[in-house]
Amino acid sequence: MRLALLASLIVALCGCPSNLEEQSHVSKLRVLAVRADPPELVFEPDAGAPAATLTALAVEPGDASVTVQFALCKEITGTPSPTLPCPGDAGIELPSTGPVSARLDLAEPSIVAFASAAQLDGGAFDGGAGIARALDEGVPLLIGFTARADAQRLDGFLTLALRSNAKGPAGSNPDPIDLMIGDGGTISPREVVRLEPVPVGPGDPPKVFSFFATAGSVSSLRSTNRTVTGQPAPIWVEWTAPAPTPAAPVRLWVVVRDEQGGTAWAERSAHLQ
Amino acid sequence: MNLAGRIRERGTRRKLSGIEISAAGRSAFTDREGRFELRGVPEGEPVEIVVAAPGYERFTARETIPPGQKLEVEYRLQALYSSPFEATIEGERERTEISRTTVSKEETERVPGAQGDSLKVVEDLPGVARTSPIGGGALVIRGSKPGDSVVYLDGEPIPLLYHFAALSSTFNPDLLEAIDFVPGNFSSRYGDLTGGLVEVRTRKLREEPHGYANLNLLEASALVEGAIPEVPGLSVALAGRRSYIDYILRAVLSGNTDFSLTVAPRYYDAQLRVDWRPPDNPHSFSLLALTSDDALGFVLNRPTEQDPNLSGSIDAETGFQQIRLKHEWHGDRASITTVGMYERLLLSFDVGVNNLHLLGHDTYMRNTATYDLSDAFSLAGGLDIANRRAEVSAVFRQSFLYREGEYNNQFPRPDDALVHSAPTLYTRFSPGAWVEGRIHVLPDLSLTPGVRLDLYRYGPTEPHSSWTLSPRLTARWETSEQLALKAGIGLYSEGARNGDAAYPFGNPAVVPERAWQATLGAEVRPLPGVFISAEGFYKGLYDLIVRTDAVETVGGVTRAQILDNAGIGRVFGLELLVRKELTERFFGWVAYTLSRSDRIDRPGEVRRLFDFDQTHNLTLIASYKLGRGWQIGGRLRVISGNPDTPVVGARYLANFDAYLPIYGATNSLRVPTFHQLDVRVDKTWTFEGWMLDAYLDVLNAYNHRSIEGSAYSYDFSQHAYFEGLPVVPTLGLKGSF
Repeated sequence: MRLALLASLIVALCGCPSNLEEQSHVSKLRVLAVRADPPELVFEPDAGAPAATLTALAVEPGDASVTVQFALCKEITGTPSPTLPCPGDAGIELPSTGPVSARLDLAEPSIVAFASAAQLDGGAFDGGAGIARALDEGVPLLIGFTARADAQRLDGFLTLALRSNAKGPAGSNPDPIDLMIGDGGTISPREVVRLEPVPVGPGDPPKVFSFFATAGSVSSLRSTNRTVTGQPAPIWVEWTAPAPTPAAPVRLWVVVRDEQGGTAWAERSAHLQ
Repeated sequence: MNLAGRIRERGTRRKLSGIEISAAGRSAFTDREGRFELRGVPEGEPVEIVVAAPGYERFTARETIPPGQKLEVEYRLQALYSSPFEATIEGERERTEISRTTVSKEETERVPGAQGDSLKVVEDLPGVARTSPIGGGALVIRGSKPGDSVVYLDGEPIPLLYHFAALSSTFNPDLLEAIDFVPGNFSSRYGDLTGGLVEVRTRKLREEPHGYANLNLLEASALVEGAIPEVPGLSVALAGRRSYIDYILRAVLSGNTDFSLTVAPRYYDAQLRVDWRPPDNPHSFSLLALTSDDALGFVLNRPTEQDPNLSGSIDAETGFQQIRLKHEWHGDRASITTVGMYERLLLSFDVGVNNLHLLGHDTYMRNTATYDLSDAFSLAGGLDIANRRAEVSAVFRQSFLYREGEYNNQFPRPDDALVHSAPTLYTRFSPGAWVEGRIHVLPDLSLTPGVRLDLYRYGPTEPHSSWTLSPRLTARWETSEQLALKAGIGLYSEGARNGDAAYPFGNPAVVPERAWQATLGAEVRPLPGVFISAEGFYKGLYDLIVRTDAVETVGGVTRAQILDNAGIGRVFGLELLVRKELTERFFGWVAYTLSRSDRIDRPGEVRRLFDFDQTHNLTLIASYKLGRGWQIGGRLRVISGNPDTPVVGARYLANFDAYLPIYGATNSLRVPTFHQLDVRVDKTWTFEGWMLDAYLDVLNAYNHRSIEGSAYSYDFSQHAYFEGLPVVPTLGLKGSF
């Protein structure tokens, strides 16, 4: 374990080769976030089976049409195999509500049938400890999705907590945010400006922000208002505008995630002079 | 007697024995203390004194002895090829291993690329894999994973051999006498390991005052030693070292908003050694106290790109203190050596929300007795006891605990659940008893049968015990002065380490890993000082501790089994060593290993290469004393690249904005061949009572950026390599008296 910790530390500190594309640079079909509304499924007494709407922030810089297919995976795990065929043989397809959204309703007959089978199958939910106790702790529901744009394809997972109301009602997604680009004025090629999510108050619960741009360079993919060990931290990052000026406006995104699975995002464009 | 005195070496002030001194047709030889006496030298007139000794410049002086009086003088001879090291001449150590290689301190400290650190030279010997860009990292011997091989310091293990990133060792090299390297088929006196071993031997302390101060770009160190005149046979040495990387980094990193230092990286170590060898007494006593500490701390203000869970405080502190007491008794035909050791071990890591805090209090005892029954038969036996107690707390993800065959330069899974382990006492009690005979069945043919019984007991919660019996046999046939044939076969065991037998890190029910080893070889001495060894070896590994997906019910609780003993492996190869031992001017060696090491992690799975499988490993070392204090050396290494596991795809994890790699076959690729030349130049100035050594040690002299592993873009769609170090010159200055 000592070696592993040290190795991680060294890898964390050393720079990757500089010729690799950065995660903050959007140059192809990407899913930047998936929001579940509400962000967790909670069984409320006498309220029927819970449901949520899933929406992907799926982008393609060439403005190709993007679609996202969602499925509830038949595996109950928070650490899925990356090769799990879901959507596919290992998933229950979810009905679309738009090009990049779908509805997960636990009252759906196919899902009810799966849940019943899983519960009868030796306790796949909980290792045999009892479904009620497992739901009090929270069961990870695995959602598989596939985004497509022309010939491009991207597969991913979202994990959604399913639980009883023992720990209170379902949480909510963060309030909508905006992205400040510099001082709001004009931007020149190669100019370095701050990207700052607003509003974020000093007393806000911990959040992690991710920043993306179709051109230029972002100094750090992520920022946080409070590190995982409690230190307040700057939420802004710096963006270096591209040169020469691209023909189309540069698209920028910020995604915010909280510790309860809540997600929100904002998109802005920057016009360079 | 009217002329008396002492002869010493200039610079080192070492007493020179057996040196002939002549005056007016009379001559005498110096004794062990370097003293001489001449009688009947003409008085009242100038007399020429001549001292001529091999290896030293001819010395002459003119002295006038006052009539009726005695003249006391001291002369200092200039060595032709200066050496700041005390030449220790011993009879050949008893060979109970068939593959022992001994490298003297003088050789190890002048090996290019080692930056004067004796212990790093181990990586240049046959059978040892290259694991670290700067040398001296994890010890991989004959295809066994790090941890299967042990470094002993005078018979007891040393827990942390190197400071940060193997920059330097935790023990002062100046206190060393030599390093013995035993890659396999070792004696029954060693247990609880299935790889190979390195025995670091400390030297006897000097009676005359001695010391040094050393400065280089990273650290400063010093040593003083000498005898206590009031107590015959009592000598004391004190040494210390402190890095100053912290001062450099503080200056470099000031003003960085992503990253702020809280504890600048620094390391230190110190050693106190007290020897008491009462004159004309078969008993001797020694105390060795060691301390070593490394610390660094910083705050990551922004989550890392690879893992959004990783931000905040990163703190690491590792250190240990040891106190060793040693008693030796040597009779005519028997000897008893007892070493007792107490060790305090501290390992403390905080990496974001992950942490590990270990505070260990360990006691060791090694008792060895030998008895020569006759010229043809001797017997040795002993008892080793290691009692380790550690309180450990941790917050970690299982995928953080990389195992051999898993590490692939990627981060642990961000979606892996955190495991919280409250402070818990873990114990590991491992006594071993052994006996070994040495039988000269013929004058030139010796057999060394031995057997070892090891007990491994873990606890105190979920206690579990197991024991192993390990018979071993080696044979050595000195067919002539020039040729010896050797062979060995034996069983070896190694109890679970590093938490493998402690839940929730591992499985308390795992049993010791086992290996059987066989070696067949020959040694040739075609010329004085030239040694050639060729050995073929095979190791069969079984009961290897590997991951399992199985679950088990313990105390009514269903939990992951995490580990079991389903793994097997094999290692085989050929090692060649051609060595010119240090004489007056030149030493060097060629070490070549051809080997293969592979594993089957679980029954039914395909055989895969070991993480550090290096088919070809060639090291050439040469060092030459040019005269006038100049010495130049080079080290050239050409080594097969390490195996690498390809990433063939990835899947996006929306909760974490991170990608999960899809791996191809484990270790199915290999990074490009490593090759590197290191050069070292020394210049020594010899003054009347001290010496000054300046050295330039250049790592990677022709600036070839070696490939150390694979790196991928964020979604694993692009591949590149991590490159090793560029050319790194190290300049040092060492003054000694």
